Amino acid sequence: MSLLFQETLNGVMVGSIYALIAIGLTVIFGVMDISNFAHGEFLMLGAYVSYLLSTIYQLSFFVSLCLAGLTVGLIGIVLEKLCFHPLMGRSSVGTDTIMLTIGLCMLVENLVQAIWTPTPRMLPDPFKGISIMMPLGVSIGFLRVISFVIAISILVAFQLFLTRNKMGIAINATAQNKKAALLMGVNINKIYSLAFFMSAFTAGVGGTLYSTIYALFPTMGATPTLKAFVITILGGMGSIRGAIFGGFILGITEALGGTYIASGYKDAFGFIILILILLLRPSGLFGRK
Amino acid sequence: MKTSAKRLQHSKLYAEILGIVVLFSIPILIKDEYFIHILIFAGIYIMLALSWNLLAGYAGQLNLGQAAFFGMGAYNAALLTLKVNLSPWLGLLAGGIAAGIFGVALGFPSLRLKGPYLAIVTIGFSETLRLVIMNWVSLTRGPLGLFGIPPLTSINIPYIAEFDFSQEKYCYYIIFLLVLLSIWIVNKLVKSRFGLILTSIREDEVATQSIGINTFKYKLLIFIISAFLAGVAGAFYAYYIRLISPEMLMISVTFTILSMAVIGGIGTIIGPIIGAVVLTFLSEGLRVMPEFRLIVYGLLLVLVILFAPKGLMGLIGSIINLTKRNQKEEKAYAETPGKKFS
Amino acid sequence: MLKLQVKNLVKNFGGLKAVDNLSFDVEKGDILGLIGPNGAGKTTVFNLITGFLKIDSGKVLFNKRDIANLGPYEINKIGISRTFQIVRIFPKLTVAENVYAGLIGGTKSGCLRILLRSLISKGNIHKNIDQKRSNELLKFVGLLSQKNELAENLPYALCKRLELARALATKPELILLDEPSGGLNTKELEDQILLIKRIYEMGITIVIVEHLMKVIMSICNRIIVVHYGEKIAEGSPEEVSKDKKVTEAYLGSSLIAKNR
Repeated sequence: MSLLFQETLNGVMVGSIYALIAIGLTVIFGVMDISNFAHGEFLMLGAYVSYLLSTIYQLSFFVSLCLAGLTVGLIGIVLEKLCFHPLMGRSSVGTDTIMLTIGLCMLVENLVQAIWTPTPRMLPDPFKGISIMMPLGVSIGFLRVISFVIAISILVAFQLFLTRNKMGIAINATAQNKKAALLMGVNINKIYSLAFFMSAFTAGVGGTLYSTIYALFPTMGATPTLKAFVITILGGMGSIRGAIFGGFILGITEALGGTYIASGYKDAFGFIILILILLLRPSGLFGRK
Repeated sequence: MKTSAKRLQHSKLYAEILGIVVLFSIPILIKDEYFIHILIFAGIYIMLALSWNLLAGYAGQLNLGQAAFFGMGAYNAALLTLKVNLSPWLGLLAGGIAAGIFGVALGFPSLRLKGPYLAIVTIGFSETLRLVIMNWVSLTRGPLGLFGIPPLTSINIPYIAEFDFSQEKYCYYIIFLLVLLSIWIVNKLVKSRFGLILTSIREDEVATQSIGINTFKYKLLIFIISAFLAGVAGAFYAYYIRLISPEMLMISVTFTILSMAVIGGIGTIIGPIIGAVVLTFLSEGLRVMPEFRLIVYGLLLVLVILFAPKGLMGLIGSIINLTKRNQKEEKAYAETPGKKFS
Repeated sequence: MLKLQVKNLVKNFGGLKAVDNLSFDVEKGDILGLIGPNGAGKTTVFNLITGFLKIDSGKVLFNKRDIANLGPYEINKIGISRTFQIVRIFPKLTVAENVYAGLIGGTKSGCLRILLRSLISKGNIHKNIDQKRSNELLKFVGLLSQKNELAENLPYALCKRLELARALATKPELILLDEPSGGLNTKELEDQILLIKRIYEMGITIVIVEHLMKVIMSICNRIIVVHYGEKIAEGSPEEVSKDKKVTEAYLGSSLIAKNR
């Protein structure tokens, strides 16, 4: 019983990070129809920035986390202007952007590998040794709890921004119907930059949080990105709420499946669910259409 | 007019024959085994890039699981030879068939999914297969991989020659023949009615259905053919390197194949061939730091997508076009319709 | 002789009734016009007949055979061809190749047979296609001189004709034209009307979806007026144009359009 409780809790916590990673992916897909296979590089860069800031410059965990998010967010804006914007008018924009992001993924991942070697590193834990006791004799590291709280707050802020703020509503409108948004006088270039910033920012933060669980190394982005894709498809691509629910569902499934079914296949559960669901319900669980 | 077209055709034929003769005599002229080894790798990559291009370039099915076909071919061939002593020659075929069957599994989702959805699901299948191979230790030895795979059985023709396929130069001839065969098949396919239907599916699947074509069957078949070619390449790889591990199913392998085809020129036959050869040799030039290989591939891929979406072939084509620019520009001109119809 | 029978056709999108209990017959040799204000469900009817949408309830009979559960390609195989409201040609193929695709779709050979033939046949595709028929079709729509051009380089009006040629290449008994006048200027429209009349003279039964009254009035022998998915009038062009309900539906919708 306590194992079940422990694993469910783990699943929820990892799930919140998955959700954080997935909303970045889904927002770009919704607004720009881009399937960003380089999303994992945002995660990895975020984790590395946090690591460098907190080890070399001895900055605190929270400060480095914020700076990591901002840095990666800026990188996102630059990439959008340099690489994605020129492609938007093309007839083959769908496949071209997929190829482009695959290229970026190979480029950045291996560049980082060449600079910092493939050795896995651990982000210093500012709350080392502190853990919170839960019922049934379950204890959870304080860092995980903090990560969970950060992830949830960003998810909530994200959702509020998209529904309450004027710019956020414009983003939402663009995701629903690009033509109509243009007609209503939405500045589409600004929307694209903002969407990329938000996507990269959440990825930078998400990557840092993810690395507190699994360590950081140049190829760390690949697995969570694939999972984030699974989540966004499960939740219906472009749907924020779907991405959040999908994140938790996958986190919990993996934690329980990895414990009770087969630990070696933990990373495959998502794909198996995905394949089943796509065959039964192509627009995802919370699909828009 | 007609004679010049014929002359062109003739000179093309001569060029092809010359090319084949030159490539055939390489192992006789050049004794450097390492060079031959790189050529063999280029050959394997040509097969993979051509097979991926059939799906993505011609049929518009963005498959990101090509490495799984490659691995499926290699593992099946190796296991059949190791466990039940299947002749490696038949193993080449068996590898292709096993991959073809797996191709059906990847082709089925294409009934309903396109673009990014299909891409993710094919990655999903490919990663799942890799995890199965990693975890099924009793059969595949897991992450350690399979070793001690015998080479292609040597052929002994008394008094004439003995072909010992543990040597590079003889393997070179095998991959050379396989590549020629693949080019022949791909060429036949894409320049025929079958290929025309594939491209119309890529252009507009709904319209293709509306003119009486069962697009799903076509997609399934091209998945099988593509998987078969990649599977044969995988089986050959297993008998040549004689040591395989689950790493050959990594996504980065699919990405490498994709880069070659796209950088060379997607949707053409010569493009993926050029891409595979250029990138293989480029990566050997960068052998000092293995990471550099993928950095260069990634950078080239980004540059090609941004500035030359038709790849190196497209670049060459547009240079040729520039020199021919003086030619008159014809404007689309409408005749009065409905004149005659018998 | 009855060619096509549509009986009590119903289609819902979520809560919206797109087609509501619609019935009509098409006789052999008809040019039937299906008209109605924008959003009346006309294109939906086409998509239901041609198998691109699943029917909620009702029946579609073609040559007395129930075709409600057939897929799009099977519907074409039994003799119903169609064009689309927004032209759907193959942009990166040449004009001739677009027609070739239609000719291949019109043959009886299945996919495996075509694959095997492709592997064993000598020479290029031009030798394995009925060139005479392809040229006839291209000439018929007036595109013969552009046959080697990429379809994406054609102006819109010619794309529409190319789509028509491709549809005719599958040898249909019945052809469904979805807004053949859409996006055409006056001159092009005249050509298009002429072309449709020629198709009719070839003995092909035609159903046209339109909202331009002019086109329908000048070609069709029978007209069905649809409003909110329901049939509100049926008859010859003269009868329909005098119908009160029809003028109301059109007037009403144009008023709404003006007020927007």
